[in-house]
Amino acid sequence: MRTLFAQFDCEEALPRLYHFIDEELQAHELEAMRDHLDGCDNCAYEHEVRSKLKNVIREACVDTAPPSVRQRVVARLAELRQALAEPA
Amino acid sequence: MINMELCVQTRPLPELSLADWPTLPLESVSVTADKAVDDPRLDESPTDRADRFERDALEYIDQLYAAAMRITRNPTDAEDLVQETYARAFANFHQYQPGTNLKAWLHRILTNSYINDYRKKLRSPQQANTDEIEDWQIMRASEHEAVGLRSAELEVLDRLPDSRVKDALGDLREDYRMAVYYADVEGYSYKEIAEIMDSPIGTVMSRLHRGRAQLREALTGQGFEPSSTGEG
Repeated sequence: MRTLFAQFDCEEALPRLYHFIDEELQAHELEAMRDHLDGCDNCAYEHEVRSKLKNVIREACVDTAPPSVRQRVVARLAELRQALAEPA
Repeated sequence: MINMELCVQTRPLPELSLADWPTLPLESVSVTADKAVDDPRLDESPTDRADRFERDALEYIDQLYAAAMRITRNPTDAEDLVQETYARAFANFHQYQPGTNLKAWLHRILTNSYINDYRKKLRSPQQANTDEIEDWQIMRASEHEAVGLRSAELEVLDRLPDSRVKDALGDLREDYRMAVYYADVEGYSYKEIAEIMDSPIGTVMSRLHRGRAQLREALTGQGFEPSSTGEG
């Protein structure tokens, strides 16, 4: 089916690029997008930069809660459970 | 503002008072629309429910803390926000629909807590979010012809220290920052982010697009602004 249609041109591909990177592109558009990226250096470059930026952000922002945070949360939940068991 | 299209309800909303929570409903972030499959809420004592909460929700404390750090930009505020989020989630756990995304539900409570009442007490000064969000504008293909120094931009991205990325994210407008965080770090879908931020999906896409363009500019000195020049 898909081969009956032309691949995307840049005007169609660029506005969909974030959707493609975020895996939000509609299934029937995937092949047209991939075909376009295979044949267009400009859009392939945009794809590479934006994908890399997404990865850079993800890797930079992973964080672990300090033990004090977990201790405070557990203590607070224990208080709330206590209140649950002994309604005022 | 609840976007009703996104809240596919498969059961009546639970009873609760407005005092419990400022935004309703909290039910079903990312609905999986299977009817009452082994719903543990059906005959569960408060103690059972509290056990289930601790067992299932505490697992996500790192992801909640990481989001709180990026949103508040301050470890003390982040710690307070995480604690408040768990307290509210505990109190509202009867509304959480088993089988839906618990982490997203917790992130939604965290975001709501922050926006609705927590922001007032913050230590870090916040920018006012008064700018109008324009409709997401389609980028014109001609814009990308302006791109130069290509391999240089990729090399810069490869060598960025984490601290610079965090700082640049922290400099974004708050709503852009949350959208980018939830999309790129947590990998949530646009629909999930719309529910977490209680915003229309088009607004989420606009925030993401603008936030990413600003980040790219800040981190590499390159890239183009999403068109706000009125030609769209």
